[in-house]
Amino acid sequence: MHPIFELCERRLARETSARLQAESLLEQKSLELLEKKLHEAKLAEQALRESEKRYQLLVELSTDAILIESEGRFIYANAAAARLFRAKDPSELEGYRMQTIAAPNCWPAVSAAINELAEGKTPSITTEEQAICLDGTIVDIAVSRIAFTYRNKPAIQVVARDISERKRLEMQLCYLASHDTLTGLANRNLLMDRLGQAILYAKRYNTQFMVCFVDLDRFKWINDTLGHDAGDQLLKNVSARIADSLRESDTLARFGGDEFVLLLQDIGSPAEAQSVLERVIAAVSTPMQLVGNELAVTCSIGCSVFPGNGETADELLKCADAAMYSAKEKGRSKVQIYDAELQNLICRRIKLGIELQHAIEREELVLHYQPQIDLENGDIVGIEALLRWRHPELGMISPAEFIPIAEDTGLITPIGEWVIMQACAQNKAWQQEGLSPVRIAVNLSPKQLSRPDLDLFVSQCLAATRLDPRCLELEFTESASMDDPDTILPLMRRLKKLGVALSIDDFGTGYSNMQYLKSFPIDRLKLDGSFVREITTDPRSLAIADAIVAMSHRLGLEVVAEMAETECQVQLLSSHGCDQVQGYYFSEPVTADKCSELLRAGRVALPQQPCQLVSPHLAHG
Amino acid sequence: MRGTIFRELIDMIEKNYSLELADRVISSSDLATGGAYTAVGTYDHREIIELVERLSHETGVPGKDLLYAFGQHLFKRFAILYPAFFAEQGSVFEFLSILDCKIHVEVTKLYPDAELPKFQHEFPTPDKMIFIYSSIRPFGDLAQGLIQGCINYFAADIALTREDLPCESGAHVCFTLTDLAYASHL
Repeated sequence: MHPIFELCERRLARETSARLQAESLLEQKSLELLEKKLHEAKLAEQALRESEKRYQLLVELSTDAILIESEGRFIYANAAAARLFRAKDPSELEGYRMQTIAAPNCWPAVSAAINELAEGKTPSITTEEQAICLDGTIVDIAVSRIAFTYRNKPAIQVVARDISERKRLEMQLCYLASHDTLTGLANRNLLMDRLGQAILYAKRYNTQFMVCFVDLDRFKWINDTLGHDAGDQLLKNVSARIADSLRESDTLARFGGDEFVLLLQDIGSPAEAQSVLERVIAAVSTPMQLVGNELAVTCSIGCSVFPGNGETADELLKCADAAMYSAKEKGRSKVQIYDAELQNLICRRIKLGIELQHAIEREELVLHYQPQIDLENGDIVGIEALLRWRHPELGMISPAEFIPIAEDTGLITPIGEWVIMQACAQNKAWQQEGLSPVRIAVNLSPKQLSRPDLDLFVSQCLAATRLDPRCLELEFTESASMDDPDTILPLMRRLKKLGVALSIDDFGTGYSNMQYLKSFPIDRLKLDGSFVREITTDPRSLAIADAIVAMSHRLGLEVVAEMAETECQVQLLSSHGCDQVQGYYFSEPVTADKCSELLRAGRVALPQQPCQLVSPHLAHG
Repeated sequence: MRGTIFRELIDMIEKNYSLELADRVISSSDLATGGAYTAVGTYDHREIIELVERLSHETGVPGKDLLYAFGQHLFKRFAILYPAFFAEQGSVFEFLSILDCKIHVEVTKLYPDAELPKFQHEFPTPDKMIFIYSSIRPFGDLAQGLIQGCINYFAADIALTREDLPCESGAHVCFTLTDLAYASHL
């Protein structure tokens, strides 16, 4: 064979061999790829089976009810669903429609949710619905729905959870937040809400409604004397009685303490409102048995009307409250409707309250002084310091008007301190002028008594003015002393330790407990002016005055009669053993300069001629 | 070693010399494959050494020169066979820089069992590249030829020097490439 052929043959053989190698390699590679693909498919199938198993376990063991709905019927339910919907078995739920187990009030929401899912919209977050169980009970559920494909068909997965207990607690909380626990009445929160609604309704339908503040008279006294349990029982009884006397449309709320608020809706006429309020007053005042006692409670009612007395709930309540205070001032079982006059009064109170804050620094407060006369010899033995407010525009303002404002606003503390300091300084100044030492009496407001370090302040005043403590007398009102003797008695003892004199003011008008009176370390009683005023005309007032004098002397106390204005009164008091007298008969309250002149004289003339008395009984006094 | 290298070597012998010489070289070599190579196969690198030794014997050209020449030939062929690897590279330094981290990564994807040499490089100065070649096979000359082929491909004015580094087997060579045109670029 020609060499070139041999070469070609060898070359061809090599190429053929290479081709066979390549084919073999390719076949081998193809087989490897196929095996790999099969292996991967097997793994994927296995993973899918495992995933399905996991999902199935999750669904089966889930504490949430899980149901699958396809073609309008449930085709699957887990064990939790059977429990939630009171089915004997999960399969019992199969075949039901989503609407069938929804409570009727939720049908629109359920239909809307299903439609949204059918339209491919994003499912809304979990919603709260009610469902009807297979046994007919209704449960509150939190439910979420999601569209997915199940066995190649569009389906909806429903996940639901029983929230009945949470709903019950929410309702309970809501009730507690809106009702008074003692009486079960609406509380302040609910009242404010109802008032808001009433305002909207009245505006829309052009109607009127009335807000009435009802305050029980002397509730504190009942609470203190019969105990808190009796007080609570009283509040329960009263609230039930008021509720019974209202119309269906009215709201009764406990506003706090012994204050109730009535919301009288749709008052057609004043007579209609009046009729309701009369029923309320009658219901409250009907005697009731309370811890073995028969008690008759009265109430005072203040009313405001929408529209007219305010645009907001707060304004209406404020007006009704103001009217209630005005009713209280008029006596018990009174109804006061808020009016323009009351409004002026309130405006004046607000104005005075604001201006009183600056009264001390503007030197508008002054002390006037009224002498106390010894009926033995006419000597001036004491001076009572009386606070006055010289208002730059309104002129002299009575303490009867501004002291309650000072007490309400808390200004009584700085004002009271100023009075004590000023009185001590003035008394010391008189002594430094060379006048004979006299005691100066200062009234203590009940609010001042709550200050725990009052004795410390008095001691500082005495030290600052270098006034002999015996020349200062502090007057406690009878009611304040008796209301809280546990606080007052230790305070009195501490003050007494300083050496100051103590007295009980307005004696005879409050409710004195003789046990306490006996224990108080006091020096004198001040006989209230109301007895002195009638002493010459009413034998009973004289009898009281007589008894107070006799009792005081037996207790080792002096008696100072207040508001003695006539010669007869002075003479009669003198003849009945009263020790000292204070009043217009001898001197009105005067400025420091005028008082200085009186003190310089040192004494006043006592009436000489016996007075001709009107009552035959008194002539033998 | 990839079959394509063997095929390129035989092609080069056939083209540069003759079919007869190529046949003689193959026939006289002691080859397990009998000289039948497919591009998709993998073969023992010692058959390349055997073939080059036989060719050197036939032609009288030293084996190292033949491998150097084969390297240059191979680079030209790579540029034709695998244009994608060359598309984004603009210079010798750029191409050699990405050889280990990009091109060999792609080669490994295609041929997971390919045993590729390792390359390390650094630039002591902007105009100088130190390129270290390490392989389990004694193909320092082939590598030098490939680098030169690269310089030729980019038509660069680069001086290439070679320093063989000590190694127990295979090859460990330090190439220094100096860009002679660098100064003129400034």
